[in-house]
Amino acid sequence: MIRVILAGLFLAFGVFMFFSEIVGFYKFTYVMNRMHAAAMGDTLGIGSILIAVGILTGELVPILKLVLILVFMFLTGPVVTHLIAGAEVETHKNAGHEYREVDRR
Amino acid sequence: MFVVLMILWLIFAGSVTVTNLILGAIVSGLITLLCTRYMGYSTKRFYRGFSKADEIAFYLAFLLKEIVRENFDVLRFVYRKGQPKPMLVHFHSNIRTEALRVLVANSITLTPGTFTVRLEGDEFAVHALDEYFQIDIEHSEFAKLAKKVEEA
Repeated sequence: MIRVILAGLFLAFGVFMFFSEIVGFYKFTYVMNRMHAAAMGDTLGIGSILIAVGILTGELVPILKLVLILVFMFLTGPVVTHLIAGAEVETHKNAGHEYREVDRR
Repeated sequence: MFVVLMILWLIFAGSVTVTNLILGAIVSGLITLLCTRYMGYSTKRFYRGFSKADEIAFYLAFLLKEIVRENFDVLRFVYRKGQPKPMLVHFHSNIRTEALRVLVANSITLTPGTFTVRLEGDEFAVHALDEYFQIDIEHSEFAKLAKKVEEA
């Protein structure tokens, strides 16, 4: 029983993170800011949902597979973010108006 | 790499039986052989990484902590009135190893609120959701920890 409640809490938190991601996605107006909101669901959202599923199954091999899913998510997520950001900076001529540039070199 | 591939195979297979062990050994051995012969992979270098296990484990623990912390920071900006003030910060990391630079860039991207737009040589261009996250970039703990891994 405690296990189900704990899993439910993690699941609810994960869904809340995904909900916030969508809210942020529509609230922010520029593509680069929207990506920050999208990163929330990709990390803590999917993380807590996988923890919830792991608690519910409670067996070693499925949990290891869930860990693998998380590892692959964490490895592939940044690559895609990086590609979208690069494309935006390269193609959007007035991108400089959307953010302040700071040089710390 | 053979051991890692073998463990991966057993996780996917789901059970430790004789058939799985033999098949896994054949496939893992074949992949390791191909990588060593044609892709410049070296077993020695792979196992040398284990001497830095302490630093790497510390780095990963810190990464997880940062992901959780910055998630709540971005959450605040989502539910706060008004738009954030984004910025693009250029900086140097002083890390020499290519692989560690990529690791730092990916860690920055993985934590919500900041992501790497460009990485040329040692020069990072990082986009931050708000001036608030700028502090994290300027005193980048990731870069410092990666430096420690490099020196270890």
